[in-house]
Amino acid sequence: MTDIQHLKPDQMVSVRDLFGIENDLKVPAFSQREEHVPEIDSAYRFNVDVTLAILSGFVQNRRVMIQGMHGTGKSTHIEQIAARLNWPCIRINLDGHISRLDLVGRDAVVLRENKQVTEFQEGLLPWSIQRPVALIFDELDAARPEVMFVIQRILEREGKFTLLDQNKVLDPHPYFRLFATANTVGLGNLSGLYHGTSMINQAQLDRWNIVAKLNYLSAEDEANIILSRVPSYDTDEGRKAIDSMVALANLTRRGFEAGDISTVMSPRTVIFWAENMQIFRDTAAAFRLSFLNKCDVAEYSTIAEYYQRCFDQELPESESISAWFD
Amino acid sequence: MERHEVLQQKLEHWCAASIRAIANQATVHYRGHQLLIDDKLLGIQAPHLQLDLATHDNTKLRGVADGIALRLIHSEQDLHGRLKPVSELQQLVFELLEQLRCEALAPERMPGMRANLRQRYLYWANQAAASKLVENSVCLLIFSISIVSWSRLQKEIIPALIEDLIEGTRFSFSSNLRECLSAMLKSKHDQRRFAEHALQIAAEIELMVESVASDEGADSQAPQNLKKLLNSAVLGSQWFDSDASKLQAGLAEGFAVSQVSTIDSASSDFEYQIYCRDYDKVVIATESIRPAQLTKLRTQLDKRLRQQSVNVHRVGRYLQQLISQSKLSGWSFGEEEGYLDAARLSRLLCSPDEIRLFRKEQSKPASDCIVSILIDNSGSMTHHNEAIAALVDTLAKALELAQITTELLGFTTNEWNGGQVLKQWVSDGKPENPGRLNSTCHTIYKAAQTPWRRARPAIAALLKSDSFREGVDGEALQWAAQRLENRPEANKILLLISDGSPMDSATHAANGDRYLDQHLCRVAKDIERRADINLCAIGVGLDLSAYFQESMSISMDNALDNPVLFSIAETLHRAV
Repeated sequence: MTDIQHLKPDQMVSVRDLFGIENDLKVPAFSQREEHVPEIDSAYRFNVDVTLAILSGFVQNRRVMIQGMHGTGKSTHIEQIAARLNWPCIRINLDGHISRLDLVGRDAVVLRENKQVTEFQEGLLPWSIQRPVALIFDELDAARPEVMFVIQRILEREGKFTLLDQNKVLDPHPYFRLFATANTVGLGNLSGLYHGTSMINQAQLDRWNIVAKLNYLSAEDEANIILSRVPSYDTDEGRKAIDSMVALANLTRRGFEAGDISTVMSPRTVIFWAENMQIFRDTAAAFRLSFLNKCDVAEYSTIAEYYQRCFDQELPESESISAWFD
Repeated sequence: MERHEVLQQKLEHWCAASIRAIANQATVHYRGHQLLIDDKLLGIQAPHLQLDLATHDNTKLRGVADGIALRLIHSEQDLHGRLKPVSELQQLVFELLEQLRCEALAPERMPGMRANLRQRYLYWANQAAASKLVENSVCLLIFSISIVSWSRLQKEIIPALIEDLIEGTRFSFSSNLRECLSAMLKSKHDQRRFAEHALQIAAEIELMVESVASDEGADSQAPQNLKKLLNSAVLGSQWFDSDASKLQAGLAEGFAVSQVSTIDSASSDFEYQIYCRDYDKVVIATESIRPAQLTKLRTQLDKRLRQQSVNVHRVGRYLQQLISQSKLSGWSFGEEEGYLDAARLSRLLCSPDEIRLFRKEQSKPASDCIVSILIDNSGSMTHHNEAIAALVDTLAKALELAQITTELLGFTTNEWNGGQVLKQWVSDGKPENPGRLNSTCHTIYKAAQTPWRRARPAIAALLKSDSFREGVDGEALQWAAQRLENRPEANKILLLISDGSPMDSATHAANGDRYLDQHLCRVAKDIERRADINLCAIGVGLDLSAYFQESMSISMDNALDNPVLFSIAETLHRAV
């Protein structure tokens, strides 16, 4: 790793130019790309509110947490903003087995002059805190709440970080930034969709300055994202198909809210569906492989009804039709 | 007929699900073939959306569902209600124009929805064109305005046959009416502006009707006739003439009336009375039948059970999956993670590679639940009694496998047509509003504490149907609920199996036909409101959703199989 400790944002860029958002805000950015800066996805569409929330995190050094259902592109959203600002960015995927040692660092046996010695090796947390890095904690609500107290102090702005193992106190780099994403707002798995999430301690949740919600996009935005991922559909017919796909995805979401089905189509699923359509050349087959097979058999008929509405075509799974003809 | 009921219920379920998703209205559901929103009847009365219940055709029901969903999205009910004209004829025209407007707003991205709407509308139009109603000039006028507006709003071509039929009427449209039509078409995105033009059209139509009426010189009879005609046009049931459809429509109407009246007003002034309790009794099934006969009946039932293809253990596991909750019980040792198990530390010393040193708390499924099955023992159930006995026996066994307690109860009356109680009432000089005029007979087939194995002969007593008479469902539900109250289980489910509405001829003759119906509705509602007991119902070839929030219908035509029991398990699960 080349050391990026001394890097600083050295230019101001306009939000309007960079993200296509109607706003006069100017934000600091790095002029040079570095190995930790994510790749730019030129097709990515920014959600105005969430982009502003994340940018305020970058500009004002706020701690921003983004909550949203799966497949809405929460982490990608932060990554893509960092990519356009040339801001180094590191994602840490939290899970129930991440311990304090994983984050802070541990004593490890290393070879020095052909002798085994124990040496403290810094974890990612102390490493990032001393550098101009945007650190993203993915799936914050999957981590064990007691472990997450490790980051309690750095959640405060200018909060120092004490390395107990080395008797050192670290000052955060002025351009260190912290973000988190989660499926729930830390109140546990209320919808039954997010098995394995835990409750977030409220004192911890309280320290996040900004909690932004990224739920589903408008139908037009979603269709545009899909088109940009599968450009071969950019014909009149293809656009029609994609509009219908998005309409179907919206029906599953409302059906989920009403309690009729227990699986929702995320934008990610719709993208998979469009990609699978290119492979199989058959809308229904691709739909089955990308979504229907993930659903409970008892819900096939309801989903088949949604499908009929959007494509004017019966799925063979539809019980209503088979019941009809025998 | 029975299969049709089951299918109808499924279709309604899917259509309601589609409406909920399309219109984003989570509270829409069917009860007794009526669409309710927030437990109130939907007031959508456009003729082409009135469904004849005998045509249980998916595509047509889909069209109706889509029409209703679009109406919910695009039309403000309040505004529509405020703008509504006074005269009934104008109301009808206004209503159907508003509905057509909403249907014209079907999104491009849902071609299937457009196809459904088109199919439904054309089906209705063809039926109407073929019926006698269009021979009446008023109806033909309304029909024509509906067709013309539809074709122009949807940009569709009118089928040649209908074109011929309405040509004359269409020609008679005044220039004023034509202008209104064109203006109306331009404002289909704006309910208020559209309504202004629609109201003008409605007024024009009424003028035309009046002139037609005066031409025909039937002034005196016109208003009454008109009302009758309008009713038929609104209900749509007049379009069809088969007996089955009339029966169905009548049934549905009965349900709807009793249901609405209990929901809205009758609950306050309706009072249920019992004329005499002296002859009521509770019997234990095994005590009224000789043991030798019970053995014979059980053999008969076992023979039937062997013929069915049900995997009871699988049903039991499914029930457990659905109904039981996980409870911590005991420890599991030798785990690779968890709490450190002190007793195993010595192993670590002996073999440092040993990592199974931890213990975890185990969770096991436990179902603290009782299901009380209340069986309608009315005379009509005699046809099904072997099938019902087989169903109940299998269900009780499966529930017991899932560690769920069961209770089997039955209800009927002691005598046909009033019996002793009626005689007493007659000798008392027939006082008014006597209330229930028969004595009830409640049977216990299997009490909660009796295990299924020991209750086997008693379950066979269900086959002895000579004591099956009439049925007072409401009181039976109260009795079963009362028995449940005293049980220690945390989850209590009351499952009613019935093939019809409550019936007692003497009571109905003295109190009116809906007396027992109303009581059942009220009792069901009371129990549904209670937090401790969950109520659900199985209709044998009949839709019971008018009475119960959670109901399913099953067909007894075929042998019992796994899917039927699975769906019963799901109904029980939904009720919890």
